[in-house]
Amino acid sequence: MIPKNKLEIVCPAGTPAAFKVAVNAGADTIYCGFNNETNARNFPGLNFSKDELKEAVSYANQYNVKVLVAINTYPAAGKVHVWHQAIADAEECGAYAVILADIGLLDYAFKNHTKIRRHLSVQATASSIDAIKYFVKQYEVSRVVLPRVLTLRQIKEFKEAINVGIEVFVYGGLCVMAEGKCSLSSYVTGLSPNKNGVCSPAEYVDYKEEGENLVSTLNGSVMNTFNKNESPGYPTICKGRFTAEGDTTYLFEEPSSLSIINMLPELLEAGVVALKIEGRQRGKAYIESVIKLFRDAVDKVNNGEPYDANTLLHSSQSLSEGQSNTTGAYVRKWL
Amino acid sequence: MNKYKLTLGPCLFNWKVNDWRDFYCKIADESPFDEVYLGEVVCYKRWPFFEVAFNDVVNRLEKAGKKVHFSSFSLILGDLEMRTNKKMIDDATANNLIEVNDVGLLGLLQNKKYIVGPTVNVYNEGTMKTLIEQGAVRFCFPFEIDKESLQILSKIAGAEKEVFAFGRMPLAIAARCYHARIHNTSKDDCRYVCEKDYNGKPITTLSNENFLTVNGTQTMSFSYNNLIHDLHDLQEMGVNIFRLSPHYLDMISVANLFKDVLDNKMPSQEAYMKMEALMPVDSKFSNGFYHGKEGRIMDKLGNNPIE
Repeated sequence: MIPKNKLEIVCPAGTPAAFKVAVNAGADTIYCGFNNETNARNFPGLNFSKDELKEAVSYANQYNVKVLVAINTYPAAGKVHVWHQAIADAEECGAYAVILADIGLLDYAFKNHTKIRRHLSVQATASSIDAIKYFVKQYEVSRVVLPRVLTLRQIKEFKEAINVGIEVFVYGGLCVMAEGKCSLSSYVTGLSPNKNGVCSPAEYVDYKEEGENLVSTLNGSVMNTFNKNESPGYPTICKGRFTAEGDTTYLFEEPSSLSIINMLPELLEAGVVALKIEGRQRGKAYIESVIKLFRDAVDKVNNGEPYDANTLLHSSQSLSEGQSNTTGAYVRKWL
Repeated sequence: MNKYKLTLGPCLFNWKVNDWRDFYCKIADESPFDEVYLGEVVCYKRWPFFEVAFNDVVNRLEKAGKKVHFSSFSLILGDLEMRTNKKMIDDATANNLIEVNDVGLLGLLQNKKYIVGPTVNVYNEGTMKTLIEQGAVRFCFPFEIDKESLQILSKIAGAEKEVFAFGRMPLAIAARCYHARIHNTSKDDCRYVCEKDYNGKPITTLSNENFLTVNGTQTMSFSYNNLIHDLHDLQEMGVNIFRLSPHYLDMISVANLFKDVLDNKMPSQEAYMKMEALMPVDSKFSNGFYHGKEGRIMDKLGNNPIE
């Protein structure tokens, strides 16, 4: 049976080159950000100037691909004009929507930029029906990106209660803390996702050899130690190894990445409209492989065709750099 | 100098209800706090234990002349949290304001007065003004807010300004329970293991450095935020409400030291040293966020030289 609604693939693009790759590989929608602190992947060498975005939008238009601009950090007091400018620029470039988290910015965009749609960023932590209702009613957001703290059952309840597009993360890095409510990075380094668009930033990361082992540190604090057989992961705080009660473990989460490519029919049935792939910081080859994998799977699911969930899950695993995959909070036993 | 208020934040830990009640009775009888926030902020599973004693404690505090506000959950994931918080909104009298700690309550409090707690992201004047229009009458700013931002935000008219001036900072919240994970179990089957650690469970790095503190689904700082050196600075900019977060230690003496410094009866350095003596062993203070640095460091001098 061909389902009534369709799933859309929302892909990351960190650079104009990656953007073209994403369009050509079959993305329905691409999200990107400006090269400043207004977006949550504010890394050196990444993101778009206004001219680059304009060019990207016109390329995307040729293929009917929508462009979303993530303006999803929280503006600093006294500097709100930088974020206002980003919204104006996104609108002028012809982007389909802006992805916002800050209440003040949502209110501003709602009142002043009526031509561009508003999507609610995962960084706004809209984790309940009442939260979503508030953003829909107050700022007329047309889509909500859900934080990665909800089970599939909870998501299904949302769709039944609220008429809004639901977008969920399906692949890539996994925040184990509620997004938008985490100050672990700034506690250790001074820089945070909310304020600066970075988490455990690279300039504070160090790897050094100690005997047989490789030790990773963040601003001087040891996050992990790897022996020769382990692949040294990035020292994000919540993926580190710590000691409590005499046991040393991955206390918050193993260095795994999210994949729920095996759950696409369930997501469709739950009323999800958009599948978000994380990774604006990732290279072109990665973007291309992930999109192709999802394109094929989503086309099958959208057409009601048979779908080999386990094979796809296995293929998606081989793309995540030797890390294991997890279904995260979508499956309650993870909690 | 403007009149200030000392507030006691919501208890973030899972104390046995009798200890919890005794603590607040002492606060009612002996402490200099003007206002007290009450309510379960971390985990819905803990609430039934406190619920039985809640009204008694509210009455006791109010009889002692303390204003009581009701604190809501800092992560609302569904009915389990929402039902409790909706009832809390219904039970609040004109004397009790709701402290909103999750955006899920904002829509329910339209046209009512409410307090915006530190886990709602208010970093700038635009958000402050928007929420003031919707009913916010006080903001307790996020933990990572710095002095430069506060200088601007403290000038916004129409609401009171509060900062988190003492205690371990709840830096993150999750659907998953790390306290349960430490004890090889899960949130659904947690056996309330968080009640063993009255000030949270400190965790260390592989080089044995004290690093963070686990408190159920919440991850807190290892350090105790301490703005004792920064109080006059804050008052000068227009921040006049100072929140001390309850820990299992002599909170009344801690509060009196804050009061003495605010009343210019004691230099902050003296109060700081006296406070060190009140802390559990291996404790550490910090005020890095306020000074625009990493939250875990103590910038002892700050911009407010030791008297």
